[in-house]
Amino acid sequence: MYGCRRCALAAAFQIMGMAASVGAWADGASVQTVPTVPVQVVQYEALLEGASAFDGLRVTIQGEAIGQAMERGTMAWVNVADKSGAIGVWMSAEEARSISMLGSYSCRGDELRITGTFHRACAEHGGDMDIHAEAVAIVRAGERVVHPFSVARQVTAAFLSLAAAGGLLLLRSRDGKRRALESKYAKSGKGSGHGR
Amino acid sequence: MRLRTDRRGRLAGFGELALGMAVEIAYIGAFFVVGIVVCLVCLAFHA
Amino acid sequence: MRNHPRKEDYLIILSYAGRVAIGLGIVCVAPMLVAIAEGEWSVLVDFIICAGACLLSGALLSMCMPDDAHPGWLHGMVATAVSWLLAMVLAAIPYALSGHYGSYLDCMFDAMSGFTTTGLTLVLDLDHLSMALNTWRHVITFVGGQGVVVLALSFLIDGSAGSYELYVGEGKDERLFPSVLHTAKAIWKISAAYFVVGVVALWVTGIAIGLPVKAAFYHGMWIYMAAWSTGGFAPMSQNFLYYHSAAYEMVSVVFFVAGSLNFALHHAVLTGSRREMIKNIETISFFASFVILFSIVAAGLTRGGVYPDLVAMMRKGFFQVISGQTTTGFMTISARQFALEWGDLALCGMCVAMMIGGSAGSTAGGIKGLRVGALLLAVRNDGRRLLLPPSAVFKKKMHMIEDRYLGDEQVRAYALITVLYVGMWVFATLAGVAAGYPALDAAFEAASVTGNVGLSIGVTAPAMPIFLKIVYILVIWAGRLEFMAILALGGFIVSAVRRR
Repeated sequence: MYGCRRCALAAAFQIMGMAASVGAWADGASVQTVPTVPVQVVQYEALLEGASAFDGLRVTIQGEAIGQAMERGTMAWVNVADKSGAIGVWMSAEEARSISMLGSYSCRGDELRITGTFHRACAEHGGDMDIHAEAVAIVRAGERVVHPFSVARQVTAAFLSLAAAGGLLLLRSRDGKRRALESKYAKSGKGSGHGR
Repeated sequence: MRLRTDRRGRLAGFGELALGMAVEIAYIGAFFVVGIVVCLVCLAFHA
Repeated sequence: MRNHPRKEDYLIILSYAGRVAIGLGIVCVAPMLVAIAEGEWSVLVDFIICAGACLLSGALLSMCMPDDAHPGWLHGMVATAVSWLLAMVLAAIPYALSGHYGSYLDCMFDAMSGFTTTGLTLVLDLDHLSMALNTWRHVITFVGGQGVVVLALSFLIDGSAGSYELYVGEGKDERLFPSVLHTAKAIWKISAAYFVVGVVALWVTGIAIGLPVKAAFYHGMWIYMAAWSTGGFAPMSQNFLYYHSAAYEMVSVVFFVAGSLNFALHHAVLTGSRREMIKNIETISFFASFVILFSIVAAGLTRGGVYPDLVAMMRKGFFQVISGQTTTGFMTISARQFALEWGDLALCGMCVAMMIGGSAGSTAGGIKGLRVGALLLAVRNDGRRLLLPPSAVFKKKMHMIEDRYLGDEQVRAYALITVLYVGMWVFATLAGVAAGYPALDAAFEAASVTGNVGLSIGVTAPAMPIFLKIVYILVIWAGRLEFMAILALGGFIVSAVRRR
């Protein structure tokens, strides 16, 4: 029964994948605008939870390119994150270079739609869960993110800095006085001394 | 082969430090060797 | 200190906690520099707020020290426990101001997880975190690993009374030198030497695997700090899987295993006593337990056909086991994959590995190889005593830097702490089960929390019940301080409320 379900899923994805791929390969380029044929996008979480079922199948994911594109010879790793998590995508270095922005603190990365073969534990990549991309499409370009200043925080920061400076100066003078007192007692041989 | 250490036993000499690090890395390397052997045995058993 | 604490006792403890807060305020400089370098101005303001809060509260508390104070062993112990709680509250400030956390409790969880070098995290959208805040996360695990207390001692208290007690309260059993300041400085020197080697190695490897030069430097620095402190935070949400690189993984293994070794061992080996590496009870115990536990895990993984070949078995099986046993917590698989793919046998092996932990006197957690080795030796000795005639005399010793007597008193102490660890693990497991998680999942997460490991099977998440978050915070705090300081604090509180 498990085998039948797997076959049905495989058939479904094959059909969808083929439909998407026709458009992708028509003009020989692998990076293009959004395909006209609607595709079933799978969330990362679904891939993770159903990894055995999806293993070796062609899937389509959509998410933000994050971090850094890591070129390894003619190929590259780009990690793609949707709302439920991130997965590594193995694509050509050329495809990776076509991604204009990768997500970080200062920007939202390009939103990519990727169709490729999912691996639960990729034999080529030391058991990594990954997708070997066959088609990479940029759905939406990334953009810089502005992090606004808060006046309230700046005021708080200024106030705390001054107060802290004052406190530390007070502490320093108190420590200095105590040290002077200790050395005075030590010299005269009197005093409470230190100990357990 | 012991280089100088001062009375308080402070790390002495770049050479001693490097040699010591090499020994530690060799010890860590032994874990890799054991790991590979164990994997090969288990994989062979279930092949 | 008399049975009922006096006002002076509270003041001494608070003033020591204050010194640690000042140290934490100074540590804020690291993320501030990164914020300036990267132009993260709003984050810079957040860290100025944090630093201000730390320095102000620290200064006020430090001034509490009475003029004729007589700090003692118990003050040091209780101050250690209290300092960690205060540091947790203060270090959570930048997290809270970042907007990446669901609640202040989540922020405190991450702060405590950082200081205790655990590595479990409740952060949201880690991939878009600022560079400065990521630096903070990693720096506090590095500082926590060296001991928040030792940090304070090195730079702030000039050999004043009570500082040895504070150090012992930290849970680092080994005295490298008679003077605590020398020990602290020696710890820092060993760490500095490895820091240079480690950051360079990871930076170069990062560039080789395709990271841009600047990113490779930041990742190298962050990963090194997390590795050496056996912390396990990583700058991206996929943890170590982000890098997709055997080279990066294996280089990090070298540094996190090194970080899990006893500082006294480092000092011995790095100053000429290289034979110590193979004679030391902890190195032997660690190696032996790893062989056994990895065999169990590998058997479970191959039986389940989880990984296709040797390379995958090493990069997933070996890496997770060594990450778990050294209590580092770097992961090259998703948390859910433990639950969905690994199978019960491999997970049981992982639980035991995480509980055994690394070496004493290091940044690692767990029961510690020293206690496990000593208890096994004790079992062997007792076995001999049964088999040999009553008049027979045999040596009861173990080698750790020098030959040490392993008598009943020592064995009792090791056994007691071991029992406390196991008891705490049971408590954390029960809490997980009570929260509705499956038993093995709860046990795995409990082992990770008890041993300050940081591997997760998926229980630790922002949606976790509040009471479980609090339980885990308390467990990771108690485990890191190896109970003594916690028991001292408990006793202090009891004596304070009694006879009122």
